[in-house]
Amino acid sequence: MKIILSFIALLFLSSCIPEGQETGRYQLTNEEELTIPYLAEEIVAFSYSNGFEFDLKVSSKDSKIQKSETHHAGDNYFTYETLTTTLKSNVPELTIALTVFPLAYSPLMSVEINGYFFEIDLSTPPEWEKLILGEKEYDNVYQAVSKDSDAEIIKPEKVYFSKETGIIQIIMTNDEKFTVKDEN
Amino acid sequence: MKNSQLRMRINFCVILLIFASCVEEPCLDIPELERRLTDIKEWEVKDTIGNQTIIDSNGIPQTLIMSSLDSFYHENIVEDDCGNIFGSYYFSIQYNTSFSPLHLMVDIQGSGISEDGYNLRLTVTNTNGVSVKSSTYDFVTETSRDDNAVITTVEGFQSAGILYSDVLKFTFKDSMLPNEIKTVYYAKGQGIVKFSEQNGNEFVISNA
Repeated sequence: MKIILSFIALLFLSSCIPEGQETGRYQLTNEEELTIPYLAEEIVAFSYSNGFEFDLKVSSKDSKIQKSETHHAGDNYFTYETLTTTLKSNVPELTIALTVFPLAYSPLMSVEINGYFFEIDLSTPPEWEKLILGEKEYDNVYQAVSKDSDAEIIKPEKVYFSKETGIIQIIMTNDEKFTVKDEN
Repeated sequence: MKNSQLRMRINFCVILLIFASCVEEPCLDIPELERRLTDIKEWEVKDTIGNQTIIDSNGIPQTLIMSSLDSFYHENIVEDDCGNIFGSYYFSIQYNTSFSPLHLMVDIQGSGISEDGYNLRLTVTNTNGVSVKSSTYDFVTETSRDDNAVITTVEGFQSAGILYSDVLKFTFKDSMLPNEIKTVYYAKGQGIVKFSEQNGNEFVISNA
């Protein structure tokens, strides 16, 4: 009986803790949403260094409202919108997820390639105003480099990205490359 | 009438129990168990083998990362009425592919306890599809212990220019998704040397 009473008292007390208030909301502008240029269901052709070609398909474009981290019950919080675009292929089994945040909240765009994470700082100028790969020239190309220094393992090491094209190239630790196919 | 029937049944059960307790278990065949233990230890992956490069059907390489290699032998696990004692052996290794979301695990067990026996269990996972499959090869019966896979022994299996003397080939039955692992080749002393997915894409250890 005592236990039940204590439990009820605890429930009563916990219901007394005031809920935190939303102190701000960061939403993506139209321009920020266009940072990731892929359309839903779009097919993007890629090729491997040895010439093997395959298609990545845009499998989802998910917009979410997320809450900032709080440490105590009743803490105030703010919310921010994220847009994640996911591309997938079967052979090779490749999943690329690009997530953009409102610049006022975070300038870092997240790029996840089969579980390996990269960050592109969109608040800084692109690495290259013009970058020529093969016979194609790309404008305003950002570069993200892996923070993991274990080069013994074959995995993504660098990513080239532009707002116009999306993922341009993924460079592996063995210097092999996955490159978007030149459609011109 | 009912009481007498019940009494007869109880008496029958008691007699059966007395007889059953009198049946002596056969003594452990220690030389045979030792021979099987020596044989099964040859299936563990040699210490000299580390991370390896695998290449798929399209020429895309990645690293087959070995981890959690573990091996131990516990003495005095089983004792019979003849005063014989025998131990239990265990070996385990895990593999991850560095680019594809695949995980493979091999557990080898050898024991004087007949229910445990001498076997090799393979567990394969595609972490994208949360597909986990497992099958166990019994070295005594030389068959699979379950219906999850067809397991055959291949003598003289050749892959990427290398000839492997003894290989277990696991072919899983219920591969539905294209990126699930369908077939795995495990070579004695070498470990996993080849596997393929349901979509036909093959991954082979490269020795280049």
